[in-house]
Amino acid sequence: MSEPDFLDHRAIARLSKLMLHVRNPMLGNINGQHRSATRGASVEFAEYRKYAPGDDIKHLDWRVFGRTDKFFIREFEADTNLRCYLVVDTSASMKFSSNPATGSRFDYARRLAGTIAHLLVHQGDAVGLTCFAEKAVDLPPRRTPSHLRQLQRRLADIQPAGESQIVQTLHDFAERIRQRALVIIISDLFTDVPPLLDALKHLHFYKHDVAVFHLLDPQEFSFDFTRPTRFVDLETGADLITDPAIIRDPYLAALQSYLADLQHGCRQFQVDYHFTQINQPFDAVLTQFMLQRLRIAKKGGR
Amino acid sequence: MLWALPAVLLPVVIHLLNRLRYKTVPWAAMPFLRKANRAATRRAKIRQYLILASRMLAILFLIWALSRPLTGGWLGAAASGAPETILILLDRSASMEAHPQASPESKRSHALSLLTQAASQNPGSHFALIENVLRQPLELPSASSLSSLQFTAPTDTAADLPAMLRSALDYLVKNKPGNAEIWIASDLQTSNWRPDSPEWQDIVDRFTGLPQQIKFRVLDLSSTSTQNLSVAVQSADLRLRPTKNRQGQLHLALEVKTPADRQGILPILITRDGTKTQVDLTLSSTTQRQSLQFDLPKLESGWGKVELPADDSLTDHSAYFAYAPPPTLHTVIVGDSLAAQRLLFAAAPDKTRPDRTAILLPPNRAESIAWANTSLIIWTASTPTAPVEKSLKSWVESGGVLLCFPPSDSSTQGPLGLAWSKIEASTQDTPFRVGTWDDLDGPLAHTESGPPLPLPKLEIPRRQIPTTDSSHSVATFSDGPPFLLTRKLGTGLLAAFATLPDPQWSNLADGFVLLPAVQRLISLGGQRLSPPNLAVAGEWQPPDPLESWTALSESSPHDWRWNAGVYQSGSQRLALNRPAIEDLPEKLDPTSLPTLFHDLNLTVMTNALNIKADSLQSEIWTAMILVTMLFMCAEMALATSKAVTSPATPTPPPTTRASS
Repeated sequence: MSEPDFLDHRAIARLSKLMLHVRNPMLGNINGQHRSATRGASVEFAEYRKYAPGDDIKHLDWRVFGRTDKFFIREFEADTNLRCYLVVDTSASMKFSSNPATGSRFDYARRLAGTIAHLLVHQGDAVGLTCFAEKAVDLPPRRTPSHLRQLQRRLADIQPAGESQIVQTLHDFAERIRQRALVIIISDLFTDVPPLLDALKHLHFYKHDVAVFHLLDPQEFSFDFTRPTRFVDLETGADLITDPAIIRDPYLAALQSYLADLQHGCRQFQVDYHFTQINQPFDAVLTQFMLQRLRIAKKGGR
Repeated sequence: MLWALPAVLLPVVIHLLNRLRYKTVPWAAMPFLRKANRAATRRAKIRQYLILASRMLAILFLIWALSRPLTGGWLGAAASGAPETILILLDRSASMEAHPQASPESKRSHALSLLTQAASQNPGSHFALIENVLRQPLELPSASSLSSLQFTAPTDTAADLPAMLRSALDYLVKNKPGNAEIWIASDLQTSNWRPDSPEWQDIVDRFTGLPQQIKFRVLDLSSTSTQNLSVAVQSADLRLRPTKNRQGQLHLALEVKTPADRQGILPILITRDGTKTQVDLTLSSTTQRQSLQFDLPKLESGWGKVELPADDSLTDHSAYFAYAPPPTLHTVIVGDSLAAQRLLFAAAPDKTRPDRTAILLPPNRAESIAWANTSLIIWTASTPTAPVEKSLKSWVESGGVLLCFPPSDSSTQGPLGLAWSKIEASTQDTPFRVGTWDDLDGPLAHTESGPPLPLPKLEIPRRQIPTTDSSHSVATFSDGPPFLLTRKLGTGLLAAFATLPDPQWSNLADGFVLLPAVQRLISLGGQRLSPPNLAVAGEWQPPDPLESWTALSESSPHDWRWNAGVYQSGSQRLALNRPAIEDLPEKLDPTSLPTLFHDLNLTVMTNALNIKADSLQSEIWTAMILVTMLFMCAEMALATSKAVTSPATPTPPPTTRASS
């Protein structure tokens, strides 16, 4: 299967030199690259792969040999302590783009998510995908290449649509996923701040390591319109005709207030908040993200 | 230029078009947009409205400035736009030639300057002139040529503003312009405006009834002049001197008006046939009548001019006169009584004078009267026969004078509707006496030298009171009835005494009253036999329209239609002088004009004499430009107060680092 075209392999190659760390110790009993908080024997079968010389033969599946005369090794889940959930906003608001040449907000989110997923899987971590919108997508975290391909495929196929339900999704997620995980939220977060912070607090309560990539289009941030404009809501279709010259100042004030509240709340609940304008090179954004995580991990020490 | 006023709405139109030409943008950050829309401060919206208003007002004042509006009372023109038609009513009567406060230009010239300047601000309007002499609308190809037109030149005539307004009304009814203005330039002389005339109500009603609204603009050129001198010639008669050589004597009757504070001697210069003579008049009242006599070597026609020292008005300090040898004045006395004999003497006291003849006709030969050559008929008989009555009536109506005395036969009916009362006799010791009489004018006026006729000396034991319709009592008895009455019939006169020049009736035959009265009536009747030598400029018309009259008095071209002077046609000479009403100083109060014009749209530019033509529009034009720039600066200040055109980029929040 061909690689999805939203991935930049040169950027991936550069980013591969870094490792994505977590802040909190992960739960799991498989030796991995990440610190584990528990020891145990619970493993889950994940999939078969062809035997390669050097593999531990205790995991050789003899039944499959008996049937097929071929050697296959059994792969198990939770070989790593890092489970990462990519929570990607696929609502209609993610379709926004002020510059068709650079792509929409969702294109950026997809690239971000896809790159993170690739890095995680290739560093031996599991990554899952949850999308919140009209059509929900829920892939549990796996670390296999086939899972990665499936994840990329789902990212490639998704078309943003419907209204955002991020708050409910995060609350559901927090209740459903009890094992500590790295939750990376990629969204425009166009919702009321207090409920959103409640959801983040919910995740924090279950000791998840939460990182938020808050994606905004430069035009949403600067609001540099100069003529009367009819704004059409991408999610609801409602429109508003107004003169930007009149409302620009109050718009920017509202935006700044929102961002300040959001930032304060994220700090409060130990959420890594990354304000990202989608005209910024995503590899620079990810590099900064990973380096920051590396610094945090070194502080934590192992 | 005011047609461009709709351009004031351009900013609004552009604003609305911009709003309609909105760009549709799919948007994700709607929550902030809605919040901002709700929170769009009132101040921001007000600022937008102020910017729009500043743009509109800048355009408005620019258009006003370019339309070159006028100041003062004419400022309304700036807002209303140029009218389709402008009728200029120009008062160029004699009083408009006054030079108030020693100004170098007359009121008329100043008016023309102002009118020309005002007209230049309405280049798209059609102009027509109505002046006071012809009172016929004259289409003007260009208002700039106003001053050079023959029909705006000075005149020695009077003005009739109601008549001029009627001409304007007729023009508007005939031509039906869309909208029109009437500009009136006048010195508001009351005798010209006649504000008490009932005509005004009819004129106002007719203007009100027009389908289009007419605007009136009055240029008030009135001024008060307290030092005006004026002279008028009342009469100029050439009489035969009682000499052998048929020499003449010119009798001039003048009326001089002077200011109340002027006293002493007023020199009067009289120019006659090239000869100048100065007469000093001792001033005793503001209006004085002066009679002058000049002995002439021959009984020949001539003309001359009377002048006073110059003052503010150059037209009323001079007057012209012309004179001609008097025609033979023939009197016919009809009657056969003793009184008739005495009347024959009163009519022709000097038998040697060939210019005064009189005959006595018995009543039964009245049909043989030489009507064409007779100036006075004295009737002392009873009622004439029907043919004679008819001839008498026609003759009187053509200018003859019929003087009646009580009939000897005590009848009660006289000619031409005259009736006599019963004969009344007074008591022996108290004869009837004359109580009052008109001593200013008429047959019983005071003498030329000044003293009145001695009517109180008349003793009238017997009388028969005459009565007729529409009569005027020239003199009355002390107990009331008329002593002498007159009645106009056509251009002639019917007069009747209440007594006879008979010793049994009165001492009228003594002559001290009868003689001058009869002679004056002879002169009056004789006017129809000789053409007039004095007339009023602007009112006189040649008897024959084909006659050509040329000016004798001035070297510059003069037009008999409106210029005073002496004119000649063939052997006939005529002196035309300004109307007497032009010497009346009363002016209309400008504040009473709105009342005169009732509800008509009226603007009055008062004190127009103090306004310079070249300052009419320049100041307001400059002010308009300044105001335009003011609004443009205001618009710029409002529009750039917050960087709408170059929005500042907000500061992105820093990435949070969650603490462990």
